[in-house]
Amino acid sequence: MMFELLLVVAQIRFEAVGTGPEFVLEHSPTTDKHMIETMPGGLAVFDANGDGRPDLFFTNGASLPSLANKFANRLYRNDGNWKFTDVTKEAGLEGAGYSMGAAAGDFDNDGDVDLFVAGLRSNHLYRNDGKGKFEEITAGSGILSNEWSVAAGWFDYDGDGLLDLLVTNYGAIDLAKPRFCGDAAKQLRVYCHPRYYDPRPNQLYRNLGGGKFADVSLASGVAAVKGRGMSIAFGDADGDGKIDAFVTNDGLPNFLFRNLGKGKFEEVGLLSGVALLDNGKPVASMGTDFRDYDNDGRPDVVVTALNGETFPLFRNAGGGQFVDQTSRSQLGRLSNRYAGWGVGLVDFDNDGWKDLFTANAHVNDVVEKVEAATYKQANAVFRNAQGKFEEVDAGLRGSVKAHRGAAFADLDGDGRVDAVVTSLGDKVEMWRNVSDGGGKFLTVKLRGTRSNRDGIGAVVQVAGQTNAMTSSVSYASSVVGPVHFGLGAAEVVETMEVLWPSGRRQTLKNVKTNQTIEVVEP
Amino acid sequence: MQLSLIFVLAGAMLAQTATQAEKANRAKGMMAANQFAGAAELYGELVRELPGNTGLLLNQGMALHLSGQDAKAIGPLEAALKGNPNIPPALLFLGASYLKTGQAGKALGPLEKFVALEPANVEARQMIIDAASLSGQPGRAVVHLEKLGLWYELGRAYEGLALDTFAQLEKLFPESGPFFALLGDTRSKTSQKRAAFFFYRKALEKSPAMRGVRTEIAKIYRASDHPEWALHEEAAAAKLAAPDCRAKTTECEFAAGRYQSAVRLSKMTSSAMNLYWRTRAYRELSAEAFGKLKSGTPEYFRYKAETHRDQNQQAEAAEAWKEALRVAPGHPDFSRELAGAYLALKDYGAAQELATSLLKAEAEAVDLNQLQGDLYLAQQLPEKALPFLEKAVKLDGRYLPARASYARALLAAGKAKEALPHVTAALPLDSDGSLHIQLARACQAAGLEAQAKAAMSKYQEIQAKRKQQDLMLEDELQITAPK
Repeated sequence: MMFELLLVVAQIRFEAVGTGPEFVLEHSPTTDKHMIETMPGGLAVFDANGDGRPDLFFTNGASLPSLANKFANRLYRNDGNWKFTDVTKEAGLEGAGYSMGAAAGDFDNDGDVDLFVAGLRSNHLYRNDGKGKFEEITAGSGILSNEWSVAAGWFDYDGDGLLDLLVTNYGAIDLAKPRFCGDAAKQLRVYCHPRYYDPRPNQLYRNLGGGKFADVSLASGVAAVKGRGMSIAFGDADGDGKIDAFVTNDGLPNFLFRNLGKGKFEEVGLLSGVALLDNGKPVASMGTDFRDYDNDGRPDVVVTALNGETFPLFRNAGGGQFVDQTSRSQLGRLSNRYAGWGVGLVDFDNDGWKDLFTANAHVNDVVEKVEAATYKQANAVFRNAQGKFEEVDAGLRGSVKAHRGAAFADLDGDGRVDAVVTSLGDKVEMWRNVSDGGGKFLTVKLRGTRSNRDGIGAVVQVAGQTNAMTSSVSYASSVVGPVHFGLGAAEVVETMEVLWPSGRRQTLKNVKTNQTIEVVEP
Repeated sequence: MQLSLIFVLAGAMLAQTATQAEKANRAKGMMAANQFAGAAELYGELVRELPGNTGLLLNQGMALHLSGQDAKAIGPLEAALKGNPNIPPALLFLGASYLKTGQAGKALGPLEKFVALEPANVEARQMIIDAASLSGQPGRAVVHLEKLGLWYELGRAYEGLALDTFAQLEKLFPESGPFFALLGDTRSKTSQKRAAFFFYRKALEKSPAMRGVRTEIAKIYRASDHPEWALHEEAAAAKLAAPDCRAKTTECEFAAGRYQSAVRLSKMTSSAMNLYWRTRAYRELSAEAFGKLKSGTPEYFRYKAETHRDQNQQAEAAEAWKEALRVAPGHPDFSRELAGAYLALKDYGAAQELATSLLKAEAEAVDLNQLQGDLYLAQQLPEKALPFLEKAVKLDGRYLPARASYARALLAAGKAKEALPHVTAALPLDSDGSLHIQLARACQAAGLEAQAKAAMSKYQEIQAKRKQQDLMLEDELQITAPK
């Protein structure tokens, strides 16, 4: 079923907000060019203190190669009206080590959102007390790891109502012995190609309840394959009602872990068509999103990569098969000049079609010396015109930085989804969505009863559109917030259907638009 | 090639009749009026009437050559030379006809003989150079290149000789110390320290007393911040006996910088060491020739650009090609190379501008059509790539890179079924498995599920093999302490 476009023209526009957090991402660039310097920047957007407003959490680096001095991770409380207060210390979220990614999720189903922080041999699990204070429970939780973890995501793979944790690991690294890559004669040192970092398996932790987790990486089959894991996105790829996990790999074929049920996964990236573009070449896959861009009811996969590699778009053709739609959606041509990290398929102009936002910059800070590309780049917005993309000037082009993580949420409650973007060595960008056109919206806040508390993994269908509740988005980032729909000129939605992770299907009738509706699992 | 030689027609014809004399005069007149085909016919008649007449055979051969009938010219010219093996025009025209008919190897003999008789003839030397190059005998061009001061070509010719000699060494003495030492030199020249170290070590394993190898290893140690290991190697090198140069040897001649003499001596026996020194001598002679390139000339920039290109320094290569084009505007080869460098640098706009301009002059060039198609493909514009790639494939269906690009464009344009024959044809090029993935996608689109699965399995097989090779190389290519 295709959604009729009710609103014809809507200009996507963002405005930089100057009153946002003062956070600067400290990545500790060194002359040794450790690869990890290029990769931090994950963030999380979630209501940390229960006041109903989304707060902001940023991961941060540490001194290299010693890792001795930690640049604190930061939590900013959203005070409303685009005012934010640094509450890191009170919240107890300074953290330790070189942090990269964040995953927010209410793993104990107590009604407040908890937090996992991924980093270099330094992963941390924090439990939220509901008032914005976090207690680190890593030591006794069973998630201790000595890997170079980049991102993580919460999902309930076994349907027991408890959120489990999937962590991506990049590769083996020895900070004490940095390899020289580049041209010694010209004294040009560059970050080494990913191939110099031996691939590692990802890790899956089953939530046992009570703040305890079991490492089921091997038993589940997740650890049967090794990659250079970057980001994670979840979706039901084959429509069998079980949540599958997509993992981007840097310079290697991507993984799609098909959930076979009974705690088992099978990696089917190649067979399903999401591992590689049709040209058969792996790309430097960074961020990802797993949502239905063409309103056919099936979740599709988009990936950010380096310039010249395009931002691959894999259209879900049903039956667990994906088709490389990069070129035919026009995204190939449009994205070819960008290198992207953070990414989101979000309906920014509320016209009923999910647009694409990418946070851009090259990985190599001296790329200008070796090819016709630029290191610092502007972010980009590609408007979705009924399944074909067109690049629009959304007001982002003046800010040219080494962008990394990005997250998308309605920070001011006006029904338009805003963007937060981190940049290496630069202040975080807060982009307020000021798109005109007056498109109606509906945001759906889920409260699971049999399913996990936030309904992570639920699929919501509204007016021919499908979206899913997920906290794992973009590049190494996370958002826990209501599921957003743009609805054009519609005043009322005749039917809204929620398919809960428990398998329960719930239908609501005649739902008014321009509101946030809370739906409780029956 | 249209010879600029002013031909002197053989006039003497014994026992001619008045009719034959008149025919001969007419033929002569036609030659003077550039009516070569007509002249060839008349001389043909005369040759039939007066068989064995060297002058008439020569004239007939020349007329045939000049009228573009080279295949027919060879017979009379050879016959003329049977009568008199030292007729310079017959030697020259025979060589030219052999060249024109693709028999470059056969052209060399008569042309060399001609140059021996007329050493000042530049055109003949140029033909020898062409024939030597076409027949893969660079050695026979060397003396002529030197004479003509064609230093770029001479450098390349010596490089070719070095490669040939190395190939001989590999064939006759595979896995020998000298063989590995030369591999080490090659890697060292391109700054591949770890690979150079690996091969030098192998050379020492095979030939522990081989002079020079330890010194090279010491250099690598120093460049890798291991001065103590370098000292150790240098001490070991110092213990090796110095070569006995009381008598001339290839090694001593090489060490004294007398490379031609080293080459000559090395040819006396085909030992591994002789082949080693000969290869090195040719490499030095090549470097000497390139060193004579006059700064600011097209060849100077060409050499510079090719050196950068071969070391994957594409930005520097592009700059040098631009300089080359500044002094040789519109040179099609330099323009092609510059477009290639731009493509490698992902500067598609600049590359496209060049490719478009080149295509205007050479619309039927396979490589240019492919380049233009590849440029559109690189910009993710498969629909625009298709006409160029289709044309490239039509022009030369055996050119597999064009088939591979065409298949990729068809896949990207959603014409997977049409891609199937082309990607199948291009499979021999598949070094990383990517073509098998393309094949799998094409098979899926054609409903050939079993073939698609088989192609994916093959991809995995290729990938696994590559991974294994990479791991082995990674293990082997470590700079380790002296043994």
